[in-house]
Amino acid sequence: MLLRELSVKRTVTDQPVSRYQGRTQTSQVLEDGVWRESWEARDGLGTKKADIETGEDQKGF
Amino acid sequence: MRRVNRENPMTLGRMSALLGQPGWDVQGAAPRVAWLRQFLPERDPYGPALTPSEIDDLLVCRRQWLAWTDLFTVLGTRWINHPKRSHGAESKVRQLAAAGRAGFPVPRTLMTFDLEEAQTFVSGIGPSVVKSIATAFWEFSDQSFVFTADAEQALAVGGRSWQSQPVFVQERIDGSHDARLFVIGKDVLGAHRPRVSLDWRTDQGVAWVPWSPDGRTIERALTYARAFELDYGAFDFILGSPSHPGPVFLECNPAGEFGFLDDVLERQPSQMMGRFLARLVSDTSRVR
Repeated sequence: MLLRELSVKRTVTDQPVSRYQGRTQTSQVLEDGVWRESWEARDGLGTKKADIETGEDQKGF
Repeated sequence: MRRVNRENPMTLGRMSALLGQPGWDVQGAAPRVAWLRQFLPERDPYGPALTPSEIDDLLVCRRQWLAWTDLFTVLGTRWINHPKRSHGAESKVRQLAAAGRAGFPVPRTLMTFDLEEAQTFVSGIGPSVVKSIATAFWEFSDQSFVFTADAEQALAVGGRSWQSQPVFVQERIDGSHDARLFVIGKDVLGAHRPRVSLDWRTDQGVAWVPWSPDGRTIERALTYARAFELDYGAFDFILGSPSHPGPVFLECNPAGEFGFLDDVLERQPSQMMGRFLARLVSDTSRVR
């Protein structure tokens, strides 16, 4: 299958620590001791490559 | 205004609906306007591989949540974007056709599942790329994803693999910048960054800065949005192409992400969307 041949796998396999913020109704990810918004997390690309294009911005990881 | 996160019961709250006369009534307040983001149940990306039974469970649940959204259509809720419009606008085949009609330069594109035809096309136009014609994400196996690929890499794969599915073979657009443009109601704004790879999503290390599209680009984007009856869309362009005048259209995602650019654009996208939602709520109040 051509598309399988061209596909890229996730590079991060450990689940980041995340929390849901009820006040802002957003998810945050713990990186280097700092809570970052999920869409700002550095590991975002490696953990959920597809999601930056699917609108899954608030669900954390 | 409230956000409903399907996976968080706290935000779902009292969204049960009671069927009476003359129809459905939401326990609490029925939403006047609904901005639909993707909210279907997904598999745990870090959990063990799902069994066929668990995959079935997930797919059955998804169908129920999809059907649940019909409640708001019955209630007369104003959608951003209407699910039927979004569905139509997600088609990359329709996108390229509509972009051309709106006046955008569009890369020369062959849709094929034939290796020889792909080779002939590439021989004729030079450097090219290969793209999936719909999102290619292997959710239930290894979470792989297909980004834009160099055509030479794809052509090196055997012909039988090509017959498995149609793909886009597309003229490679060389340019100075990648750009993302948002249409929110009748407002338009954008950001760009230097172009360093075939697919900007594969290289997150390059900074975005605000980009002010010219009047023609704005008009074309609004024309495109009207064609699909979209209130919101996230466009991707290549700027500074030596072979095409103006921004070259790549695609427009009707649920495309803006969160990663909200800071760059000084919170304008979220504020614009907030104002747009408030205006629609006000408009629907007057109608009622």
